[in-house]
Amino acid sequence: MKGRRTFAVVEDGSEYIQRFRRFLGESFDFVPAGDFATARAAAGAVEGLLLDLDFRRTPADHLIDEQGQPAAAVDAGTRHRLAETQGILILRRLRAEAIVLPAVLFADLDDRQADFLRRTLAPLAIAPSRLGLREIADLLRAVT
Amino acid sequence: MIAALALLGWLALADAGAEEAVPPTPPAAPAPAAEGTNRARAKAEHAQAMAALRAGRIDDAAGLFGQAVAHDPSSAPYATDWGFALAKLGRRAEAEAALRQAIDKEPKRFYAYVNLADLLASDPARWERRDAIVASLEKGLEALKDDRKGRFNLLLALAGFERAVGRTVEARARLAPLLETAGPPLSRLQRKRVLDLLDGIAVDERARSLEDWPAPAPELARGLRDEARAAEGAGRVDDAIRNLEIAVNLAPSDAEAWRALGRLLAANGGALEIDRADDALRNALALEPAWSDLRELRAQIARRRRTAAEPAAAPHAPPPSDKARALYQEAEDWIDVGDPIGMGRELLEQALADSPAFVPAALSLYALAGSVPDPTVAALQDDGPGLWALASGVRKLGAAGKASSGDPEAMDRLIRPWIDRAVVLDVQEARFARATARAAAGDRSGALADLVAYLAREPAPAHLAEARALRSGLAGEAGEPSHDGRLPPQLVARIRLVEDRPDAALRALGGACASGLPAERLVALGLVQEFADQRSAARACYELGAAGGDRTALRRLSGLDARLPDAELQSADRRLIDRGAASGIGAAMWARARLERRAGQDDAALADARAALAAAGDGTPADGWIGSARASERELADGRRASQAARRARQQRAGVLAGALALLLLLALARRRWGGSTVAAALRRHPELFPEVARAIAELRHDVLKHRATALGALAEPHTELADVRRAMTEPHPTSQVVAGLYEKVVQAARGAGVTLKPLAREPVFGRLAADLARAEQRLARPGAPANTELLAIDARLRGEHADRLAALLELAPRTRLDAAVLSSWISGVEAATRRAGLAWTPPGLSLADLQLDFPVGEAALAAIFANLLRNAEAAVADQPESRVVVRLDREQDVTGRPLVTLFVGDSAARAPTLEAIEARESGRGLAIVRDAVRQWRGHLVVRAEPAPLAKLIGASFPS
Repeated sequence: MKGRRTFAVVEDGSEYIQRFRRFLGESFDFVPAGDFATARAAAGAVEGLLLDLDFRRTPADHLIDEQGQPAAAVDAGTRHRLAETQGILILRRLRAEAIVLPAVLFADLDDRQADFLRRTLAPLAIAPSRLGLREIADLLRAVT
Repeated sequence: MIAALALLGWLALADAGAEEAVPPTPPAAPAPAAEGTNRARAKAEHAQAMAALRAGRIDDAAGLFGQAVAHDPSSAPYATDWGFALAKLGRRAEAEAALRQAIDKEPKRFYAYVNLADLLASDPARWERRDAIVASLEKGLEALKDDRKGRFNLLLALAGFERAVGRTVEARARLAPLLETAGPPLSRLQRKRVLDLLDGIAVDERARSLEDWPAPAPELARGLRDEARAAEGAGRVDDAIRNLEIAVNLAPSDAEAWRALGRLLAANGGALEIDRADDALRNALALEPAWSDLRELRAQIARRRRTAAEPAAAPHAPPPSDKARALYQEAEDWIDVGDPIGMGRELLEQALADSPAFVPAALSLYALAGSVPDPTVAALQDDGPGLWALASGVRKLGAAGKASSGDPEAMDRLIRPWIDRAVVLDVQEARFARATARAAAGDRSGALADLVAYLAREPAPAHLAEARALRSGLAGEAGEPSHDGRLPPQLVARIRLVEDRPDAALRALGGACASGLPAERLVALGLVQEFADQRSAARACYELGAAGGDRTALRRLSGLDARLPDAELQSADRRLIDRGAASGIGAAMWARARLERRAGQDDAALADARAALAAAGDGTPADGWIGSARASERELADGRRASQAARRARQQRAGVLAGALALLLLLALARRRWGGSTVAAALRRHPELFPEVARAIAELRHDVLKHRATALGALAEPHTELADVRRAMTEPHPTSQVVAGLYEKVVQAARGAGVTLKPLAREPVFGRLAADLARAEQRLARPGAPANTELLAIDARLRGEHADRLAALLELAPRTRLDAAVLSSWISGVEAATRRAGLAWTPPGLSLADLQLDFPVGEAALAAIFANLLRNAEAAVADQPESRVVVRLDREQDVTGRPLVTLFVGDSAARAPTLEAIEARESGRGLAIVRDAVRQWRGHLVVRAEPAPLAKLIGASFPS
């Protein structure tokens, strides 16, 4: 049996980490990561990555674009477009940097996109919004 | 002489005993003395007697008068005065004998006659002796033919006697010549005495005519009245009148009978019956002055002679044969010569043997033999008139002393059965004779019964006046008020009213009404005032009586009030009206109803009018107010019905209005509760709502379901802190309220599109979700252990059916399929508009990667996006040679794996706008609109450089 696992919670706020700590804190440890940089920094100390999809509250200069580059001076439309898929873009960049930690993406995606992501960003699990805490706990145990 | 002084006072002192006229017992015979001495003593004794008489010592006076007569038997004055004194002492028989002795002694001296007449006028046996008395007094008149004064006094005394025996017609006939101008002149005093006596006779007649006969007379009168009504209804007016005439004789106080009689006579009588009709109507009005309609009748009455049917002829015995008549005639011839050999008696017996019912023969035989053969009596057994003729004849013979037997009692025993049988056979004369005989014998009730029967038999019996007088005498003997010259004031008043003299009636009653008078007198005065149509005065009298508690006065007052004009009624004593109404007097209720109606109290007036009519029943003719009350009751009832109908109509209208308002309210509530569209239905009809719905769902999934509601699932873990779950569900705001807020945004957006969504509670997706969340919040808020099972069930629904419903809504995202045809159509539209604006037009080329692509955008929005992109491109190349415009559809996948569809419009203009410029609205209005529309539909603009001959592509890209 493995010991307590630690996950980096990559989100633009604190809802995930507070919820996980409150209800899953008995079983897991969680560390916050607000953007790609902090996520990459935490990657070495955690057993997995928990990513939100939409980072609309994240300042534009903390966002990265489809090429993994910082998107500091982008127009509002572009920033909006980048923010709404930022979680994927961060994981994609992490994968590009050979960080292959198990990852869970919390997003409601259609099957085709989910399959695409699981295939291109593995190891990745897609956790839709209807997933309960118990299922999430099971998922966290499963992915690590 | 004292006889003259006592003329007027005599009747009042007369005794009622019936005695034989026997000679008076004189004092002890005077001792032999000289004639002069005796006369002197007689003179002194007479003087002493006069002094005693003046002193009121009548007994002493009578003794002294008797001594005077004894000492001077030839003195008629002494004998007259002795008779007078004896009469005053009630020694009637001695008095009569003394007076007759006086007459014998001096036949041309009138005093004894006058005293005798006065004495006999009060004799109880006067009815039996009346003929003889009148005859003897008429002899006196003959004897006094040369004494004018004496004849006058005796004439008045004789008329007084006739008045006393009811022969008022004879008395009046005897007096009338005295007042004729052709007759001997009278002194004023004499004339007054004549007039007073005539008036007394008239009052007697009136008084007697107004007194009811005793039972069964009233019942008979009512029966006759009813029969009269029936007869009138059947058209037999004469029979009705006949019955009514009898009824008023029997019961003169029966006002209804008088009224009916007067009305019938007035309506049906001829000119000769005017007086009778008027008399009847006056009698009716005297009894009931309220019958004002009778006053009118009095002006138009006519009299119709009664043709009453004679009583059915009683059976008669066979008439005597010629033989019997011949025998009777021969017998009379023998009798005329004294019947010296008894042939008269024998012939009579033969005649009766042949014809036993031959009454004259039987009477002659009775005169001779003192008996009547039994066959004769038997033959007349069923022949009433014949039997009465026999009886009356025998009685006259006996009275005249012609019969062989002078025993009156034997004669009475003989004829009494015959008279009784004649009465049975309905012989009126026999009935009256028996009444007088019974009266003389002291059989008061029998006499009255006969008299009542006598009057009940025919309308104008021959002895009507005598019967009345006899009745009066009988009443007096029974100790009841009798004719003594002092009639009750009410009766006198009534007499005066019958005479149409209300003023005299008032005087008789003592004048005006005043407090302290007996109620009976007040009522009588009121009646007189009513008769004179003096309503105010009548009301004052009745009010005084009613105030004292007299019910008759109260009833009369009520009746009068009911007839008063409105203005006059206002001044009536309301307390007495209320008292009358409380006593159940219909007229009082009606009077109060009128006052109430005048005061506008219609409901109370209607109630009183109805009560008055109920109390009055059919009423009497005196209740003339009943017609008005009925009419008023109808008016008030109609008014009430109309008022009630109006009120009901108002209530109905109000009810309908209230119902309509309630219905509207219900409709509004129903519309609010059940009206409106579901989100799904709204999306199907209005796809432009999808972006707002999708945003709400995204937020709901992220903020509510993912981060907060999933806490419910943690309750399955034993270490889960309840406070953490509660906090997750309720802070900073309850999740149900968050859902409500999101839904409200959708509602606002829908309203902007002209769509009304259902209230949250009724919306099947958002509503149910909010309800489950609210339920969970409530469970968590309760003290104690939460119902984990229920909360976990809610958690399961949130992640199950609720999540499915939300996903299903997203599946309703509109799809606009673009192909060459659609684009060509859109291009044509833009071209037409451009050309209409006079702008240059570069025909765009189509570059379709596929024949068709589905865009997750509403058609209108997509068409608008395309038109703006195309107009922007056309504008960009408008002043350029070799310009190019191209429309291109592209399908690709972004780096996150999302499939994208993009609608491009490219052009050959070198200048290309940047996204920043578009964002800053510096690229032209068209692109800014495109940007907003694209973002609305969750897409983004793309600006891409293109190789020549094009320069760039500007596209709208959407995740598909």
